[in-house]
Amino acid sequence: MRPVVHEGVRDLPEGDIDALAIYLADKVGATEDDPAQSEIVLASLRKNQPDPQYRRDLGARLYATACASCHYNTALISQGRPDLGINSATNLDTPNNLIHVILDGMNAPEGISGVVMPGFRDALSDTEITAIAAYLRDNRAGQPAWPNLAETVADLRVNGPAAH
Amino acid sequence: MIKFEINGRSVSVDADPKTPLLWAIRDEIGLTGTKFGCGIGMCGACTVHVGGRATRSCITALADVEDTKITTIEGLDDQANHPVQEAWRNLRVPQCGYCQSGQIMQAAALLQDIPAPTDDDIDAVMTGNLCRCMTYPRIRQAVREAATAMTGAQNNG
Repeated sequence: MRPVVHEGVRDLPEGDIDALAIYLADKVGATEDDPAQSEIVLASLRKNQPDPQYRRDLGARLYATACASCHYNTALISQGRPDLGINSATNLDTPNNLIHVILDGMNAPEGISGVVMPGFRDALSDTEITAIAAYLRDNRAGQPAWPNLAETVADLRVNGPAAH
Repeated sequence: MIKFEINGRSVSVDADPKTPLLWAIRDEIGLTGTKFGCGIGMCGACTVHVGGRATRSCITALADVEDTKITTIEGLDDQANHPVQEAWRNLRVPQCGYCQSGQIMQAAALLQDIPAPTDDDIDAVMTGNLCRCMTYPRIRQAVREAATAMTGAQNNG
């Protein structure tokens, strides 16, 4: 994505960037109101609040240990910490983007400059990545389950982005 | 050669780009305050800051941190007097101590983002840092103390 965003999209005229932003905002149901007052943003933040109950779900447990060290927010959203419930990766019709980033992470020039996300390819099994993705889809994005999620994880691990 | 900044100084490391950042920090650069725990990003002992974010160095590839700014426990404060470190000393948080540099780095990142965390905020973010001596109550108390010291708040909780 880096060449697309940092070396491509930024050179587009302002009007095209606005159009892209409106399209993406529409995909998650954002309105033109103040984002801090948007019901979708507020609902996502509420779901991101820590759940003091014992975490029975494998995906929730793994999220707490593998992801929550960096992917956290409080009642007030902080800049540069987009809530995963309103992230395109958890809201798209296919889980591919989410699985790619869990498998292979983000290096410093990708995404927010100077920040990295490690890849979990060698750390988590297909079952564990599937559990995290299913948890984010259901609990954070509040969307219907992705069909064939486990198969897609196994496929993308072996075949990578080139196959898609 | 992979170049980056660590604790304010520029370094170049000549190692396989797939080398975990943790081994570059410990074996190539010689800073051994950062510990190896589980090796799969699940325990938090190896936590450092990359671009200010708490990052598990055991599963972060060296190639991915090119040109970033990294802080380890040795660089958190020149005199080891970061408010989190002071709170840790005041409350005698560590028992065996092995996980503590990771705990401190995670807590420092947390307080940068959430200056006045609730206990639930602390639990949510610190849950990924395991402590086999079970010093969790003191960790939580120290995070609260450090938050109070950093914000000057009278009562944090």
